[in-house]
Amino acid sequence: MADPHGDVARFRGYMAAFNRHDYDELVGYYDPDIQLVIGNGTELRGRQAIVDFYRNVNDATTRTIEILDAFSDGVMLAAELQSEFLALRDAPDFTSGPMARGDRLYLNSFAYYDIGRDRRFVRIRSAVFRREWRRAASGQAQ
Amino acid sequence: MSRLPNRRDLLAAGGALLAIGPALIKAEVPLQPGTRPWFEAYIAAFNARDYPVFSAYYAPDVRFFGQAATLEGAQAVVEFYRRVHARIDETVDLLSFVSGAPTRVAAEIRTTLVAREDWPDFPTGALVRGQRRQSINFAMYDIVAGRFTRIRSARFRRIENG
Repeated sequence: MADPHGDVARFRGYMAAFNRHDYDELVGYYDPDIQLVIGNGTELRGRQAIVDFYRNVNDATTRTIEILDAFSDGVMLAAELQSEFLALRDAPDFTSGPMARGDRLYLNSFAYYDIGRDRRFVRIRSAVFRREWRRAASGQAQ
Repeated sequence: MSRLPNRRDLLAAGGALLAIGPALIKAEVPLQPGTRPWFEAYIAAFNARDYPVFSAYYAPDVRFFGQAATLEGAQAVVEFYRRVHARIDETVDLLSFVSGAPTRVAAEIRTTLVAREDWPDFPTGALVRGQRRQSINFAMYDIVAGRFTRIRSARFRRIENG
């Protein structure tokens, strides 16, 4: 698939940094005035706000994101992502709903990344297509 | 062997083609699957309730995962829309489009529903006559041989009375 500006390759590097929790590298992918809007309605603006948000999420859970597909026209990148959240401790205030230690949440989501002139992300938006819980207590998918 | 007209053909035939008009020129050049013009033609046909045209985008065994229904087969999708459109005025607007041509496209779509009658058990929530509801959805379309084989829609935002 065409990737005329190297956006998809850069996106893979971004996700690798995300999965390593390498926040210093992550910031370099964001425009200073970046806007993030995620499926649960959370809206954030600015690099630091986003990094702080992810630090908080990753404090209670580990999140691993797999890129199922990604393509770009040089202005916008579209991606299908599979995220796995594993609760490291009880997280009653987790953004997608309360999690008990050991619970897993799988999200299949579609995301758009608006790309600025310097190839940094200026806006990120995502919507959840499928959500599946695997509760540690039951071992069953819900 | 027949072939599509190229730029030189069009220039050579310029006067005649100009006399005929742009509509015919456009009709002579098939839209490439997975491109924005191709997808916009689908949206235009959908909004015009041109069932033969927009249903031609569906593979016979298309799998459809919409906000209001999960369906399999082109006939099922068309019948679903006929049922919906009998009771609701539905308009879709293409807000963003990213091509992963020729096998996939992503579209940000705003759907506007205006109920022509009460529909208390409408799958995404009860509607009363005259009620207007908008949503913005991120959709992924898988394409094989120029037709949708899978359509999936994820709700990004719902705008009640939007």
